[in-house]
Amino acid sequence: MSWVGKSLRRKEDERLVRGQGLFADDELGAGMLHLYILRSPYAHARILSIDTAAAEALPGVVCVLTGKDVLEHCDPYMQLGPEPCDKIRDLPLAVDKVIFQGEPVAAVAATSPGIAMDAGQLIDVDYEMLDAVVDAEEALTDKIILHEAAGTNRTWHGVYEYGDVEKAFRDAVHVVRIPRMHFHRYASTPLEGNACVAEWTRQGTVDFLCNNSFPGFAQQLLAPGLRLKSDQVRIRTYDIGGSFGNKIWNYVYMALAALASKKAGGRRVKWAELRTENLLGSGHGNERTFLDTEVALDKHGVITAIRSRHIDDCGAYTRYEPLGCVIWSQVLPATFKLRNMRIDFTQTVTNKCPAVPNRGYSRMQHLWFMERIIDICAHELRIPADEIRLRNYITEFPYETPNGCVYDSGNYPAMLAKAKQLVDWDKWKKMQVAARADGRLIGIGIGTTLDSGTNNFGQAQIMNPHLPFSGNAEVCTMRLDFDGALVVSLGTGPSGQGHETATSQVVADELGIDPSMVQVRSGFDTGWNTYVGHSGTYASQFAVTGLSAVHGACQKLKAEMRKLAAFLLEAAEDQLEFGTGAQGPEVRVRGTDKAIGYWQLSNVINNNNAMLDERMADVTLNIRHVYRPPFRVPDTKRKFGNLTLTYAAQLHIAVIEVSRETSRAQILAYAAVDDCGTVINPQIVAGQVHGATSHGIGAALMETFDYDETGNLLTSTFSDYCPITSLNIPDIAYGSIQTPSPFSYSGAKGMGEGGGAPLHSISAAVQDALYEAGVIVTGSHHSPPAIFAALQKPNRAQAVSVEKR
Amino acid sequence: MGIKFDGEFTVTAAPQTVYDMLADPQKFAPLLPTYRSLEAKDDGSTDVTVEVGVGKIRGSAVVTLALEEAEAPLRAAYSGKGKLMGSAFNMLTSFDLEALDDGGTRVKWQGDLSMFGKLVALAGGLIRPIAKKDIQRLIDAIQAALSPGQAG
Repeated sequence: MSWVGKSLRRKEDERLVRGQGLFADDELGAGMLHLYILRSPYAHARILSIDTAAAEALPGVVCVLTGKDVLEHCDPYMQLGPEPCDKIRDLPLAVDKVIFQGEPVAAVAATSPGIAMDAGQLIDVDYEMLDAVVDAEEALTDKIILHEAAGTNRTWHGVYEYGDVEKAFRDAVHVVRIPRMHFHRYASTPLEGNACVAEWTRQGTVDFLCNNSFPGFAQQLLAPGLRLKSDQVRIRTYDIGGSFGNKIWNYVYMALAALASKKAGGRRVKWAELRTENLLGSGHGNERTFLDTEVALDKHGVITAIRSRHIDDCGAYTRYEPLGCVIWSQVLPATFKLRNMRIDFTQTVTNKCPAVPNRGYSRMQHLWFMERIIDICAHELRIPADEIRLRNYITEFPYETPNGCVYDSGNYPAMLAKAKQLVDWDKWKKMQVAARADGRLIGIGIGTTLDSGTNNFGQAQIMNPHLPFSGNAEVCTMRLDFDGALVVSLGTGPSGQGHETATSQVVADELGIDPSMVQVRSGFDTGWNTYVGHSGTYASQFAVTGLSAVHGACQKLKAEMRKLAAFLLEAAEDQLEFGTGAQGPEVRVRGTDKAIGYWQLSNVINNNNAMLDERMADVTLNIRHVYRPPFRVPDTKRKFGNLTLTYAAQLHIAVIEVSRETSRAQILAYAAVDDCGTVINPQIVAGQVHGATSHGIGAALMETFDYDETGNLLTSTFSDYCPITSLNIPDIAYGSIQTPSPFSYSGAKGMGEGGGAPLHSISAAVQDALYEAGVIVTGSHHSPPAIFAALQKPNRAQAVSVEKR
Repeated sequence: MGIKFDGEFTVTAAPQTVYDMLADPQKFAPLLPTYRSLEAKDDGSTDVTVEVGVGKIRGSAVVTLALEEAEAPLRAAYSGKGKLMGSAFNMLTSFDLEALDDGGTRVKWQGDLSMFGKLVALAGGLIRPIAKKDIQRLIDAIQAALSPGQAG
């Protein structure tokens, strides 16, 4: 019997649905203090003075932090980017200048959250307001500079060129030009905001209970930032209520809680973010503008070359950036077989909330760009949307992209066929014709996308050749416990992905036991778990890195169990088999009744070892296995190499109707087809697909961070930001195909980010609905005001041109 | 978020009388519709405490007013800045006075209000009509003070 491939109910849900989960904000304790962070109302201003006297005098206030304390006790966080990023000074509190609305300026630790908040209002900060820059192209003029030491807002620039672009354009039959497209700014808004409890101990170490989703990375940044050794920073997590990449960066706030604890004499300090703080200052997805795009096509509508200029807006601080300037190139040609591309890529800072990794990080923006291109070309060249994709899809795998990435497996035509069947394509095509005759605006859109998983961190060297990062790894420790159960701990810190369940399924299969006998430790602890710098949950990799580590640990454990059993049963190892006997799981001599149970093996090693001799000296039944994917450092000059191990895919079809009265785009039908290779747990995969689809629909139709010209965030509450809820999620016709990856032991591929497929499919559907009205869809957000504006001022004459030769 | 307002009104008082009132924060500030108190500071500016808010979001704010231009009896201009519940606002207000044939004064005024922070997000769309209403109440109060027996 195999557990892998079955929809085993999530083991985590037993505690989570009963309210027995433990989240950072659940932590209570006598004497605990609460931190309030005072944030800048200005997007760009000089701090002239900070008067904390009134706040400090308020009963219940224990200490107040300002930039002065930060300068005294902290060093700026390490920057990943090359010059001028290394000149950017990123500290937990602003010191002399604020550069985005919501930037922390001071913090108060008090005996209750209310007192801390009241005290925050008593802090008198005198600002000199400065002009703000919120537009990326304007920022690149450097008329207003955010980081004066850097001397420029431009944080990265590089040209990605492959194939013979000029020749492809000379030979083109059609050249389609799209002067401008824009991918809007939004985020993931996890159910649980950022939170931590910090204690600066008497031993000079710092203990964090938090919800950081990449603790190995956070530790490497926090320790030097707090002037500590790595091992002096202990990071613990337990249950995490969603991350989507956003919680990678919350080490910035964790440091504030630690400093407050230090100043308060070691009392524990809790910080739990409010929702408005999360929207204003936690982290947004990257905003990107695509300029001067030219597309070369042959007479069949096959794209032969693309050249374009991209500007990425990462907000006020680079933090995890400029990694996004490279990460998009994991999916350089998207799902299409073109070989010639030239992308001039620039990133800039602006007076807006910093960008952080966000579900589909950096690839999603590029995939949307590529999907818009093919969709606009289809309409302009009068080729059906499904047909042009079939002519352009990559069909043979493994497929090496022009920049050296290797798409492991896939079958995009089969996904398209399945999605068409699920959505009832032919029916909607007929209904569309009839509806149009009645003046109704119905559109059908396809979005094909990739979810590249298991990063090669060597790609960071394309961005900055001096960075000491490459490859990837994950760790698993596994112990055969006294009672014969398997105890597993992982370097990953899940945030809702069901790691305990999927791990149990793999271990159960490998060791021939029931999943209930596998105890996967919840959460993560740098003090107890084994981990490496890559450890964490991000970039769609658990199914490959995490489970390969688990699988490898199983093999090592089985080898030790076999060796020990052979010794104890006085048999040859090749005579043994694993199975379940009358008393539970056992190792037995094939064809005999000689057997020894798992618990007995554990007991010999742990309690009853006098019978062993030196041949068993290395048998501990306590295993550590590190999985390392087979990566090489990319060629940084050519920007060439394999950047990702697996490529899951999703193909979505949206049918929408745009109301002429309200300009609202309503989804009439929706299909989502997923291919993540071999599926470990179908229910978990289906859940991830539904989650990613809902998230993408929200981003396409509702969610946006709008800033005014002075850097005010106009959508900093859920009333304005409008996150998607169950009321707005349509019925999703879900299907899957499985093309096993040849690069993972099980054929599984990382998944969960979804590649933003709804953004692609809904943009395409809106395009299909509005094309005859003269509208070219060049933006990714389709709120009623955006659609109303498009219908009021059709843009086709300016937004696209076609040269036919 | 920026809001610009302008308009004009007439009063029966002579320009010098109007100027004397508009250019003196101690006389002018109490006419603000939600005025509570004021405190003159050594640097010549004045801290005026007013009640502000939208719906249930209410509180008091201290506006630091500084007379930036004083050209008797033709023009007075103030700058002001204040903070409220994690938000901040800056304002520029000017009054240009013109003598009328009947001895009265025409007052042309301009206001430029910039707001930053949480309040903008929470109540951005409501601020303009509320500000407009409060400005009208201020004008009514000025007219009442400078046109005895006519306002209302």
